[in-house]
Amino acid sequence: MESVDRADSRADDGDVEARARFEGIVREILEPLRRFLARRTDPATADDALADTLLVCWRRRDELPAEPLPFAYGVARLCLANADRGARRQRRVAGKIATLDPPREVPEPVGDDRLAEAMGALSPEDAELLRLWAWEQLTAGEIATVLEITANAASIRLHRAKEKLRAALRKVDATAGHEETKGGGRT
Amino acid sequence: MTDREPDQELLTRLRVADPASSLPSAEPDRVAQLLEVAMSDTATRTPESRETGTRDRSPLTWLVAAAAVMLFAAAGVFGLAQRDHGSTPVVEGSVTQLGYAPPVGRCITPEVGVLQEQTVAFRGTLVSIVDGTATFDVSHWYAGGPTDLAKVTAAPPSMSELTRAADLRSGGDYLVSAADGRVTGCGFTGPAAGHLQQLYDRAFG
Repeated sequence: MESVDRADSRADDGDVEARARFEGIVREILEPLRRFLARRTDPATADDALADTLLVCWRRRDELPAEPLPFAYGVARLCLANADRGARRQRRVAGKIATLDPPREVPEPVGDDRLAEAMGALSPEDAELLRLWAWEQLTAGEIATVLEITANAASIRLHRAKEKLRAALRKVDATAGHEETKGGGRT
Repeated sequence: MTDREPDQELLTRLRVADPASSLPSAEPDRVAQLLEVAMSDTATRTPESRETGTRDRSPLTWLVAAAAVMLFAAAGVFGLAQRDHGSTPVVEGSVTQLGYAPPVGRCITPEVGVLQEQTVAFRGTLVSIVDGTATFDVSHWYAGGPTDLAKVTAAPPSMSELTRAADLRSGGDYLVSAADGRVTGCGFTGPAAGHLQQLYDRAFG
């Protein structure tokens, strides 16, 4: 019996150690994760996706890398997509959506209408690359981890996305300038 | 570097417009609650860890699952999944496009380690098989994606082989994995049940 007790004790120690380590990781990644989700969905969905993300990270705690945040972003991205998809399937089953589902409402950049319009003109993939770069402040290598692509592909796609955003901003600025000129001519 | 300046300008403009910049920190009680909920999950590394666990399944289901495993094992003798390095899944809009070629050489038995190397893995309902294209409405992404649909396109003989090996039927739920843009046969793709579901849960749970 004593040996069984000793084995149980070792298992308990391991469990305590795993919990302590995970708590430390969560305290490090929680706020960045919350901001990641707040930039991509409504508060209720973000809260659900946060709980799901932490659950998956706990289950996969042995796989968490030394720098766990990009990995956790990748998990959160999948949880968010699965939450969206689940909600849409429920609506489809309920017959409330006849054809195509509307895309998720992603929060826009705030206080800069022209930037919001330019970001809105990009593909979801390009906009996501720019969010990861600017808002999550990730390197191309870290973006690659989140999106499960190669670092080289992330670097190339990010470069192109920046170019597309600049072009979209120029277009928005030109349109706004043209309308301001027209408006000024009438007065 | 002259091209860094516009980058910096763009970066600054985006950061100023960050919609999460004023997000207050989480309440300590909420953090403790989230941690407790996550860490009270004792299903780690057990096959029945996901919401689609097997605990409620009937003996008949296990019988069918066992038959499916035998079918996959039989399919396995046809050879190891063919892999062309360099091709990647094509994601267009909300569709992940995949290919399929019948395996050549010997198959390896489906196992967690190999499954974890798959760049695409999902559970989805087979909506249709038309003109060499199988369309899945994806309910859960384990890896890759995420898109609403996944389409597997192959030449008619290859699609027939996949249909037979994975027992594809419209309306059924399937577990599908792929590497290098191609669906992996050899029992790694098949009905979402039994042993295969356990493998996916263990690999990605």
